[in-house]
Amino acid sequence: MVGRAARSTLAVLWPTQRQLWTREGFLYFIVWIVLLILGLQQQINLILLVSGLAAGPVAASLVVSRAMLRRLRATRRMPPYAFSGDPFPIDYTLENDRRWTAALALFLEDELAPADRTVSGASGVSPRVFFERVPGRDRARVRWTGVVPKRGRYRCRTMEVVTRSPFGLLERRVTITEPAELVVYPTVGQLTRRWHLVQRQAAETRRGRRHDRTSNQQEYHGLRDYRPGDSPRWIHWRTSARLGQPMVKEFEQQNEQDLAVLIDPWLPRTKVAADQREALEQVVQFAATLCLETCRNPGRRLLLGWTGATPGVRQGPASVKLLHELLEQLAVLRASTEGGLAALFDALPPATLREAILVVVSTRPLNLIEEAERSARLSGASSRGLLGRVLLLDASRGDLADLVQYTDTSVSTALSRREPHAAEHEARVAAKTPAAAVGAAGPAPFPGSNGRDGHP
Amino acid sequence: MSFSNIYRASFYAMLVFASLVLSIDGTDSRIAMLYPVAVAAVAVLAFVTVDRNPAAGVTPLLLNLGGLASIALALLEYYVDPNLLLLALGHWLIYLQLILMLRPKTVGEDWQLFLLGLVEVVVGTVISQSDSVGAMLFAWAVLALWVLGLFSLHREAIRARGGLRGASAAPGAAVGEPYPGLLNGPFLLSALRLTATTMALGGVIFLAMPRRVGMARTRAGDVPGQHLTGFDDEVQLGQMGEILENDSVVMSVEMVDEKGARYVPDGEPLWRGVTMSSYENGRWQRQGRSPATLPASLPRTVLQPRPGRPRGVIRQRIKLEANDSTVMFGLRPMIEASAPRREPELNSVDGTLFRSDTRGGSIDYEVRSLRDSELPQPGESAPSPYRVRTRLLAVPDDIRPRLAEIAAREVALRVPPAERSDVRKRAQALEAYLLNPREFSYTLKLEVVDKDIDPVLDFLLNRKEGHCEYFASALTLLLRADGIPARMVNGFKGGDWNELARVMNVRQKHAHSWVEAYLGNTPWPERLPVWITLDPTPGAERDRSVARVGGFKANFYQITDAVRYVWLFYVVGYDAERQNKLFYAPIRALVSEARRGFTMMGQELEKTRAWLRRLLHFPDARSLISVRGFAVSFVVLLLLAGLARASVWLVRRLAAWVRGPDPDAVALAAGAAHYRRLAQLLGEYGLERPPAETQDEFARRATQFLAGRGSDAAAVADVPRAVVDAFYRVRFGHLDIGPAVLGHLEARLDALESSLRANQA
Repeated sequence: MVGRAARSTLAVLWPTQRQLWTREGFLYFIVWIVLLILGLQQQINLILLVSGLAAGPVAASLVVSRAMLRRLRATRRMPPYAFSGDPFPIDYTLENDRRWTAALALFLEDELAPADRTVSGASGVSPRVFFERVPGRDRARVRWTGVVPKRGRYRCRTMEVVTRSPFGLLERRVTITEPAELVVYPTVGQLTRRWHLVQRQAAETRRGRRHDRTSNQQEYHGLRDYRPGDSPRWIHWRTSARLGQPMVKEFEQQNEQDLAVLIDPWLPRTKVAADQREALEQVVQFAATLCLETCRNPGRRLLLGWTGATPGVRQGPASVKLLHELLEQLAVLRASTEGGLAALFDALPPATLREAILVVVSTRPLNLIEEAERSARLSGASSRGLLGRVLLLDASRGDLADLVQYTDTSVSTALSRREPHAAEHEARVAAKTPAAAVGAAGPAPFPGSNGRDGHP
Repeated sequence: MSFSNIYRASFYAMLVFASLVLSIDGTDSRIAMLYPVAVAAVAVLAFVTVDRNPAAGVTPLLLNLGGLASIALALLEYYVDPNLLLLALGHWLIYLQLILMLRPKTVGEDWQLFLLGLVEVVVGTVISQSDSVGAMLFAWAVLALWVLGLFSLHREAIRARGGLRGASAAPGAAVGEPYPGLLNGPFLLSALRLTATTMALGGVIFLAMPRRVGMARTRAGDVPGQHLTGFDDEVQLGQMGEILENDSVVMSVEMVDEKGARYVPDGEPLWRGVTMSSYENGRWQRQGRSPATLPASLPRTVLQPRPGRPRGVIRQRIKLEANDSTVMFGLRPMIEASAPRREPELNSVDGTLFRSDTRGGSIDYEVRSLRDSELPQPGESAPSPYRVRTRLLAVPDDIRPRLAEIAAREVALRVPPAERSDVRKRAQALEAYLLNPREFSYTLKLEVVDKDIDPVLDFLLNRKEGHCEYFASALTLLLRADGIPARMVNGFKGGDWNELARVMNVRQKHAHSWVEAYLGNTPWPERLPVWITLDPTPGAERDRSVARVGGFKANFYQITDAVRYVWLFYVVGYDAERQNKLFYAPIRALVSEARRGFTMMGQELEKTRAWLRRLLHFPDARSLISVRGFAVSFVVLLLLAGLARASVWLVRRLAAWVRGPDPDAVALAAGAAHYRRLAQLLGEYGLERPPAETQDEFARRATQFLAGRGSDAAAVADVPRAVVDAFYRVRFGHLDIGPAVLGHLEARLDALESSLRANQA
């Protein structure tokens, strides 16, 4: 309430319109000054007349440019989230409420600024679109398409409608307050066969020690050639004998066991090397990919934890909602200079500690035994049990290099494939409104929209 | 016509007008008007070649060679006539312009061309300040504003495509021709409004610019002015007939009285120019010239008011157009003459004004004259007896007897013997003789009846018709033959009085000759010569003749002369005095009026306060129990109740403003916007939802309504259902609609709208 009152007061006190000289206007002004001095010095009225007439456009610009921006409404429409590196469209609509006069040659400048630059070293984006002509009582829409910047939370506070009408000598900018927020999720890829292999090896190791109740939940999928590294236990002997070459069984991951993705986004306090930063981003991207792949099949519980001064945990049944929560958390995840895995173990729910598969992704080499020993919640037995379910990946060593494959295809489309429930209702409504031309000039977005249309 | 073509054609038209400003007054040069023609021709050439195919433009080598050649041409022009330096400079600018026009145009080149045009205009206005230059300047200014506007759009389109320095491409810029459909009625109307606003603002700035005290400077132009026939040192009798059929303006005169109020002359004022004294074989020669200054203090004779004669002073602000004569005009008797640059000089021999040279184009000067035209001219020397005998009484011997006979006869006929010693009566008798319509008539046709005799004698004896010069010559010689010293005066009589501007425009057709007869001198020590003015020309016939000159365009003189007046006196001749009168005096008056008003308001406020104090003064509680007490209490309570209600309203408004818009309301508005648009759209076509109908029922009815309006509308009959579904989702289901669906809905609503409009059309 107080903040709003303060903002309102500031908006009243702070001028929303600015007028600046353009480069041409400045040169024009110099020529005018020369004319004026010549006319005054010589007292020749016709030179003074030319000088007066030359001053007319400058004086008229002060008045007319204000009129040019009158009764215009600019709105922005952008999705609430995007994946870093994806093509990213923002629709800008300009509505001209004037009866006759067209709005001509207007630029609309926007600023998408990171809320916290320290998250990923993100820099802002400045979309700029041009409205050539918007006739009276009409509207036009222009789509700006850029590449989504680095992960993080971005904010748009204001847009500026810029006109140089009528003579291009002065530029008038009117600031429109239209706050909006965009969360840029980390880049996600696809888990490679190598990841599945690593996961299987880990599971096998686990099974060697104790009966894994989840192994039965793996569904036989087919046969394939034996590759070095495959467990001999997976060899399908009968087929191998028939074909004369080793064949192994392939299982689809129907593992319903809970998964905990634990991130250790550690970076040194000073002198951070570029490859360390790169490792951190790899960690985040891998975690995001893992979360996305996991949420593809609902029913399993997923937990995301991260180390730091205050370790954090997000968990829930795998779902689109959870996925967005986790991706948003990963989007704003900052590097940590303190804290360790032990504290995170302490923050994990008992069920996770007891039976979930733990994937620990770190930017530094970790000694799991020491971390487990430091944990207050882990006894000797439970510690051994836990360590048997942990898959430790160190990004600084390049462990993640071939676990995820990043493609050029838009991730958001992949996500929409993975969001059957979210896409369902849109498809249903869209089916009732066929043959729509998205992106063509059409009606304006809703007035007063906060930039997240459809998310009131 | 595409935007680029309109822009380019306008640009070239502006350049042609810039060259016209420079060349329109180049009457001395036969090739002056070739420059605008050349600019127009090159503009057409550039328009069809280089502007369509930039590869066809002039190469940098040719450009440099052309630049060198232009310098050589300008230097050559300067060496041929060093007096025309400015004109040579202006022509050099045109050469550069021609070369640049043949180059492929970037924004920078367009700015250069614009600047060249501007400098041409400045040079043109320095060279000449005639009204034709003014007209061209106005046309250029209008075009320049139009072009500046289009140029701005052109630059913005290029900037949007990333074609300017420091600019990156912005979505929304047209790939092909920018601004399709720009030239429509609203655009032209707004352009017209903008031009008018800009010109008005420019005009106000011009009027407000500081001026030095004294007349504005009218620069010495390079262009010589018109020839004034009849004002040379020697004049052939009948020569003035040429000027009488000429309609061009010689001077514009603004007359005010001593208080600064506009003065409207009663009759036709006589603008004295030169006096002619020697006559020989049909030729008049001027009297000698003796420069003098008008006396600082007026002689007693002049100051003494005379009964029955007008008193006061007439100030004449005269704008004399450029001419080749040194003559300056004014009403007799003149008591002061001033000009910003060269003070007019008084010829003490005949009391006329003159200037030392004819350079300088048009000239502004001011003359103060006494309203009593019969008073002697201060500063004029009394003619010596020798001069009287040899000049003012001189009549050629071969015509003297006949003239003396006529004069004696007419004097005897019109003046009683007892009054024949009165020179004035005798002179007026001879004037009356010539004014007799049965004897003489006015004509501009000059036909000699008897070539062997003197033209004046031929006029008096045979022809008996002629123009003012014949009448004046005849009277002068008749007076002299009768022994009265006389001289002929050439000047102008009257002028076209403009009621709108309240100014007199004197044209060449108003040229006139009249006579001054010498009556003697005022008493010693002043000894000023006393002359009476005699005009023997039949006035009514002359007026009819003057009115015939000018033809059809003379019907519009009231308008054209008013415009000309504004141009001459409020543009070219706008000085500190006029600025003060037009600009600062009204502001001062307004401030003074406002101050007076505030003082009055203060006084009234004070009175009201005192009245209120008396009204609200109740010495004790008992005095409240009265009619006054009841009325005061009632009004006070009423005011308090109103104040309380207003405070509550204000607090609520403030609270609502501080709270800001309700986010739920915004969300709902966002969700329902499509539905609202649908309802509004269908409402325009008579399909409205009654309050008792649900949105779903309304959608069904709308679908049926659309299905029955032909195939086009049937194709969009599903839109109401889809929109209402979306509305229900948002309004009652609190669900979201994704951007893609919103886009679909918008597009479908667009389709519905266009379908309905097409159907209606």
